[in-house]
Amino acid sequence: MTEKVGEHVMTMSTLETQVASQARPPDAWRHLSVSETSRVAVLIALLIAGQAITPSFLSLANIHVILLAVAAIGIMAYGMTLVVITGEIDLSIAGIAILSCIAGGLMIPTGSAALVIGTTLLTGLAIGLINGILVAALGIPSLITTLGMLGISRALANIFSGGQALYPEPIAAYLWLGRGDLVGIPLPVVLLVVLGAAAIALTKYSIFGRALYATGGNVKAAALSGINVVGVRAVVFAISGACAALAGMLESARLSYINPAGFEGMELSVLAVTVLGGASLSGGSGSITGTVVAALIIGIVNNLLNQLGVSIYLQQVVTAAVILAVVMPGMWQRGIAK
Amino acid sequence: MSAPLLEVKSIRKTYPGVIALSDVTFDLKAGEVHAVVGENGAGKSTLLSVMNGLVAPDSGEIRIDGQPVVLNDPTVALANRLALVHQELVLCPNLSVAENIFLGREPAGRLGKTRAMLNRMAKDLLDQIHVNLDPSRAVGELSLNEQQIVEICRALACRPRVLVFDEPTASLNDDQVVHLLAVIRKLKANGLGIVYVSHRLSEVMQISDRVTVLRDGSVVATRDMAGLNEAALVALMVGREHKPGQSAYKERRCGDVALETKAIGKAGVFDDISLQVRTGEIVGIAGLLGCQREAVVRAIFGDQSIDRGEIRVQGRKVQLRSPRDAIAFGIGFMPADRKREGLILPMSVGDNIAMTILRRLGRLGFMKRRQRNATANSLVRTLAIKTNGLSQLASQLSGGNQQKIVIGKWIARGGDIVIAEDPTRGVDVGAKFEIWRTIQDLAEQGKAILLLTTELQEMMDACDRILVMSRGRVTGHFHRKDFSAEAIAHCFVA
Repeated sequence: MTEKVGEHVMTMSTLETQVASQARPPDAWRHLSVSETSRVAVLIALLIAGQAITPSFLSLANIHVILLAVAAIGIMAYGMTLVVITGEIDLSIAGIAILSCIAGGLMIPTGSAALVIGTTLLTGLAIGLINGILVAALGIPSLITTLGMLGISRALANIFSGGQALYPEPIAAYLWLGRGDLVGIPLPVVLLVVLGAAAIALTKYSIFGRALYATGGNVKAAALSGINVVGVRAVVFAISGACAALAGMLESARLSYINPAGFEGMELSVLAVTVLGGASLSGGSGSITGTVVAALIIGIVNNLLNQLGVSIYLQQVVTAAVILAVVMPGMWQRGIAK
Repeated sequence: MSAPLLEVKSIRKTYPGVIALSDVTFDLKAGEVHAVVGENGAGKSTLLSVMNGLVAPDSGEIRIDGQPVVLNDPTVALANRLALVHQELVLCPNLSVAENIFLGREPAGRLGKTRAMLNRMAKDLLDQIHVNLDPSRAVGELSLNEQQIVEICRALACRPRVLVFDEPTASLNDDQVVHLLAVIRKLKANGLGIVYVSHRLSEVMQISDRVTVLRDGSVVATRDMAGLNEAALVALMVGREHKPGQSAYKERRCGDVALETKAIGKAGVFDDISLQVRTGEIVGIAGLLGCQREAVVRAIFGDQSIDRGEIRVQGRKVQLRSPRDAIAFGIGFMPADRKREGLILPMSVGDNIAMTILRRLGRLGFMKRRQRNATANSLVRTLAIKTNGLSQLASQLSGGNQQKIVIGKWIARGGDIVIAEDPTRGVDVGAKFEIWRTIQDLAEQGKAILLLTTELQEMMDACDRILVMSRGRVTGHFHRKDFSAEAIAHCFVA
């Protein structure tokens, strides 16, 4: 008999929750599951539309083109997603990418691929870690820290390179990163997939992942439960830095050209992908799978517009409109936007 | 006879698969305090939402002064001079006390004058309820208790005729409750009708003229409070006999000193605090708001620093620079504010329970999911946490069940020392009893427990010893056999 009573009380308390959530819509920021479906729906619609517009759309060659185009932005967005889940933001990624590539590029005369690639990645990791320490240990808001770091690293890249582009031609392994392939799949695409899988494992199945969401969900409660919230935030910024350096290297290798003025405004495109992927800037939510789908949406839209010969400026307008179109229905449904 | 001030007639509200309210009827006269009580899930929240215009009923009507009204929005309720004092604090931390009280209802006036006027008007309201609070202070700087006062003043500022209190005293201490009840009596004498919802039955008994008991969405009884005792009221609420105030206290044998502080102090906050908690012992720290007992337990948990004195765990002197240090030494801390400090609300029940033992659950960095589920499930069972499953979000549980998660995660951790800060705040009668029993069980298992509660009676029921603090110092020390509310209260102001 007691069991029956318990059951009844349980349904009633779930019900009170329903009432409560009706009364307080801002909680909906936390789980945009509706926009998860709308995201996937948009992706499928785009695939169908694409095939209808250009018959070669779903050809292997064009799929490679699309994936290659989103590889860099996708890899950066993995790092950004981790940062945003903790409730922080990383606006320095474009700066980190360019400074790391220049630092690595300065090693080209040594002729050692390991030195060039290693320096690039370690520089990104180190700058990211500095971001993390400034934010997590010293408590400087990430918006300010990373905005400052963006300026500093862009300026340093210009100083170190004398404003001149560097050319990685002598380093075959470096070029291979951007242009080579593994069993017919372009290497940047391989890295996009492998790192995506690793990031999914990290966020969904690791104990670090739990600490990550806890830190973003309620930093005080996480700290009082013994989570190393300083460490978690330092690590995500370091990962974001390394992702930025890698993405920068893939692009530089593809173009065989390290441009000290490159990646202008990249941080905002990456942030857009992350938000489109369902991560809330208030922290505690977001997923790598969402980010992957979001990156694909952006990649396909740009690919289609390119094929239709639409100007780059109009492309930017359309991309922004797509983001609004995907994000908004979910919000309406939850009553966030009126 | 004139019509009652407020009539709620045959209200019915269903959600898919559940009847939230079925045929709920009650009325409120001017100058009356009418309490609504019931366990969590009895339908109180839905009823309040209906009265406040947040939820539209399926059928039934609400009359004010005999006139049917359609309350389809909280602003309509306010226009009908029906105001709700929220249980949850919905204040702007960056604005002043006065600005919060009159938010959206600021009187017109010249720019410079308005602020002074607001402060004066706020001061009047605060004086009405005998609270000495500077109206120009930012709400973000206030303690939880003081913020609750602001919330009450906000409702009063609407000059309501019907005032609905939803758990107004959940975070107030005994002293402030007395003040609040005095204010309510004054409001009542002014002819206001007051609906009073609270888990604290002693208050309900003191303040109410009539009481309506809800159980499973229906009215079980509406009675005059005169001639009704607490046991009878609880019996109506839970539908079975159930002794209130019973703490499940058991005689226990206490062992060695597990936790000891020697003359610890922090400049300007507290000083010369020495205490000992032995294994299997429950020691309470009593005191009024501002006695700094919260700061002392936070220092013991490494969340705040100390300037002098030493902390010893199992006889060893320890340096606690962070909660992580304290946890490593086997100390657990159940904070009073479970939403802000105890739980990660957007995460699941299972994740929250596992939060203290993540490292143990890792294999090569991956979560041992089966072991996590086994641990969490067994705690859900032992603590009788009512949940749909481990993946339900913590935010979706009732207060009592959320509190049980906070307790559960420290049981999972298995440390020898537990600091429990107001473990039954805002929790319904049934869950309250279960929580006290759990705390007694923990002591029985040999844990050393340091307890803070706002209700002195609860502390006297549960503890082996009580220390009393006033203005950052220890002013009294009582053994169970010497417990007396009067003697302890005397030390509050020493």
